[in-house]
Formats: sequence, structure tokens, C-alpha cells
Amino acid sequence: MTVLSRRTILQAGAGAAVAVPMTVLATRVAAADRVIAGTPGPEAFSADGSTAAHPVMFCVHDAATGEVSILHGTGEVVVRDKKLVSTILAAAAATPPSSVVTATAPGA
Amino acid sequence: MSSHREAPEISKDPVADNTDTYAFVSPDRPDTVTIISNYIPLEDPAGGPNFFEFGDDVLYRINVNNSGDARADIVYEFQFSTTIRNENTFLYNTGPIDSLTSTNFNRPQTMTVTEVRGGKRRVLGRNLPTPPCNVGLRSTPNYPALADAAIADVGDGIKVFAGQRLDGFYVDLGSVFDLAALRPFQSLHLIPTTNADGVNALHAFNVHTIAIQVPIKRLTGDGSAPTDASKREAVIGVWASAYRQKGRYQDDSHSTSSGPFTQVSRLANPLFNEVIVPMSRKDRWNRLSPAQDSQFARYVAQPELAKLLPVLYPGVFPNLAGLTADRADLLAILLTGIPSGLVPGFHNYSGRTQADMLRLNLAIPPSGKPLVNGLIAGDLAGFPNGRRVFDNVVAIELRAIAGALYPLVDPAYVPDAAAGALFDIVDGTSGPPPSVTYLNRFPYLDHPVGGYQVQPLSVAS
Repeated sequence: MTVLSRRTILQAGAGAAVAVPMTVLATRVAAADRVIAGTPGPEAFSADGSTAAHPVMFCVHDAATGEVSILHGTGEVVVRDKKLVSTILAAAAATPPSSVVTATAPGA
Repeated sequence: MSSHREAPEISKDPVADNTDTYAFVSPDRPDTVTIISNYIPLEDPAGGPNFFEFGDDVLYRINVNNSGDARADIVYEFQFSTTIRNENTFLYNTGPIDSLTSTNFNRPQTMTVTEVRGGKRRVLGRNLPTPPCNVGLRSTPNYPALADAAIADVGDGIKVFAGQRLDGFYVDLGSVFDLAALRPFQSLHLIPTTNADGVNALHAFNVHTIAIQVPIKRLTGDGSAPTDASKREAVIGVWASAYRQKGRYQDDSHSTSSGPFTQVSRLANPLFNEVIVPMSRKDRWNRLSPAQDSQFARYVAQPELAKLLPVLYPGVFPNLAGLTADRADLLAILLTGIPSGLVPGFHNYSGRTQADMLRLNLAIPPSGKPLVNGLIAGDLAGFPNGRRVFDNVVAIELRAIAGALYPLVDPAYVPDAAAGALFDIVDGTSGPPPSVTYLNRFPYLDHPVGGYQVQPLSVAS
């Protein structure tokens, strides 16, 4: 921990630049039955299906039709995939919802 | 307010909340146009230790239409990146900040500016520095020098600046939102009190400004600098907008976003979303583009405030109370521009497309002696011909809504005497309120108030 002194206040507070780490959520994009619409993002998927710097997120619009938006980089693709949505909903149903999530990461 | 906290959703997202947009032919460089968009309403200058800054996760845009269809023909994009130099201190600055590269500046923010023209993107500048907030006498001892150092010339005659400024907008919020008990007319109000002078509720508050100065030739459709003010091609439409990515994820240590940018805020004419659009539709309005504004035309044609004034001020607006026709005057001012033939020597009509844009006739030169009441005072270079930083827009729009300009479209209509006398804080005959100051050069909005120097507000009985 840097201790600030009168000298550092009045002359030069030294500091080191730090980079904020970005968590990469490696999510494999399931093969979709049908791509409804899409906006390509500039960041290409890597070989394992993850993006370079941003997580892949999704939003299920309609469970009955399997319509889901997949957000990646600065792009979005809307697909219709009942199997994918079924898997997502089954996973969600298997865990009771928690209203408050507390930090669990070391050092948090 | 012009657009400070004007809609329920964006009021909870200040860094993306566009408070004011300005567009005017630069008075000291009349071959250029200056466009300004402000964000972060009501910055208390002493609001540390986490002083105000732009959102790194927000995409800011200034949009220009030169073809009359209210779609962006030229876009200037601004994105920001923040770093922390010393992660072991809570301090914004670890000593006096005497330059933009000072290591005492612990949380510098840089900017990337991109021009989008004809669908092609061109980066005008990367890692452009922005100044710190004005913390106080010890921390930012020579603030003007810091701010001036952040004005960047990015080529092709284009200047940019982004950083904290004194809010140049003035309005008596307390009176407007207390059932429109406009000071100094409160003795005439339905719930009367003794008349007293107006109060500038934005006095000594700062905002964050994005400003760009562009040669006129770079903004017109044919690359010329118009000289004939009667031509349609002399008019451009301007608006600002802000975007966030669709998805946001928060875990134990940070948040991150993903997906395409979607619009969360926009602004052109002051007060449009604030007092024209019903609360239930304000969030929707913020997500749409100006080209989709015809769906809001009915609120302009029959503005709620024009119905309220005769009720709130009994007997003061009898002619306005009887004015039931659609307000062609307001539809022109706010949604299409004023066509030729209504104001001698002037038009800013951009076409039939109804869209909320600031419409600026580029062939009208800056005024040698500008009048803050703009067009209604005979100053063709002022609002609603674009908008200058000092224009008395609240008074101008109050008078327009009260029917003062309706004779332009119906000469038989006689405005109420009060319509031409309405104002908010100042009547404009002596300029803006003395407490609001401006620069006579880019970026025109004055340096921000320092946190150490600011005095708390007082409360009157």
C-alpha cells in the first residue's frame, strides 16, 4: 500500500497504470435450427466458441418457439432453437432462484 | 429543464443522459459550425472523491442530416477509456494537477473520435486527453490551462473537446415544476404567492460537454458553403444521441457488456421530450430516431402545456384557451423547420419529414450583436435557427406555446398580452442571467465551477 506523504502530495504522486482484467465467459454457441436476424460484431469468435474480450450473453424471448437472442461482442444474432432453449430452461429450473448474490471470489 | 433528467429511465443513468444540444455557426470561425452535446445533469462541483466522468461503456454520437430525411448522413462518434494510475489510493488526484500528463491525475480519461460518412468509418483521433474535473484551488490550480490543453485539432479543420464545463443553460426549475408558478408572475397563479424574481436552479452546477467544430463544407450534401439562405440545401438537421450495449452482466468484481449498441437517449430541440411528450412515452421517445417522430406530432399539435396555462393562470390567457386548432406554428418550429414566407429573410425548413432536429440555416451568418431571445427578437442567427449556448430557450418556447407566434400561421389570431411577456428568470432584453458566463471561443461553454470554491445553496421560506 502506498503511503502518501506531504512530499508526494506537493510534488509527485507516483502511480502505476493497471489494466482492469476482463472475465471471459466461454460459452459455446449451439447450432441453431434457424437464424432469424443478426447484426455482425467486429469481434470474431475464437476456435473454442468464446469471444476475445466480451462474454456471450443470451435472452430467451419465447420459450414456446425457442426464439433466443445471442449477444456477442457488439453483435447480436436471433435464432430459433427449441433444443437450446429447452436446455437453458432445464438448467435454470434445476437451481432455486436466489434473490441476492453475494461476492464469492477471493479478495472480493 | 432542457433535457436534464427528462425521462424516467434515463434519469437513472446520468452519464448517458443528454442534457442540452447546441448547433450554431461559430462566431469567431464563421466558416465552421460548432455542435455541442452535454451529459450528466446537475453536477455538484464538490462531488468527490469519485468525480464526474463520461461512461466508458457509453457510445456518444453527434448526428447531422443534410438531405432532409432526418436520417444521419454524417456521424461523429465519441468513446472514452479510463485508467487508474495508482490503485492504492482513494484520491482522484494525489497532488496538484498542473498538466494533462501529470502523474498526480489519478483517473485520466481519454477519448477516441470517429467520423462516419457514407457508411465509412474514419478515426479522427485516438487517446485524446480530457481534462480532470475542477476539484479546487489546490488540486487544479490553473484550470483554464488544463482545459485548453484538451482542445484537439484532429485535421481537416476539425476541433474537438470533451470535459467538464459550467452548465450554460438557465431555468427556474423550482417554479416550472411547482405547477408552473413562473417567477415573477406567481401572484397571477391559481395558487398565488407574492411575486419574486426567478431563480436559476442550475447556478454553479457543471455538466460534461462533448464539443466539435467542423468546417461547413464538411457538413453539406454537396460539399459547398451555402451563401443563399433561401435554399433548402442551406439547412442541416442536428441531434445528439447516446447508446449502451444491449446486455450487461455483473459479477463479484466488475460489470461487462455485450451486444450491439442500442439508443438510450437523444436530444435536439430543448424541452421536446421534457414538456411535449407524455411521461408514459418518454422512454420510448428516447429509443427512437428523429425520422420516427411523426408519431409524436399530435402532442406538438395539441400541447398539454398550452391547455394548462389558462387553467393555472385564470383570466390571463383567454385567447389561448379558445385556440383549439392544431398548432401549425409549433409543428413548423419543432418538427419541420419554419418555411419561407413566415419570417422575412428566414427559413430553416428541411422538408416534409416530421422530426425533432435542431435545424440550422448555414447561410445565415453569426450576429454581430446577438440577442438571447433569438428569432422572436429579430436575431435570425438564434434559436430556433439552431441553438447558441446563451439562447433564452425557455422563454422563447414558453412564449411560442402560449401562442405568441401563432399569428405567423393565422394572422387573424391575437395573442394574449401575457404570451409575449412570459419569461423564466430573465426576459432576455439584457442578455442571459449575469451569473451565467460563456467563452467567446471554442468550446464556448465556460470553465466549470471548482469544488472548493462552490457555496451550498440556500433555502428561502
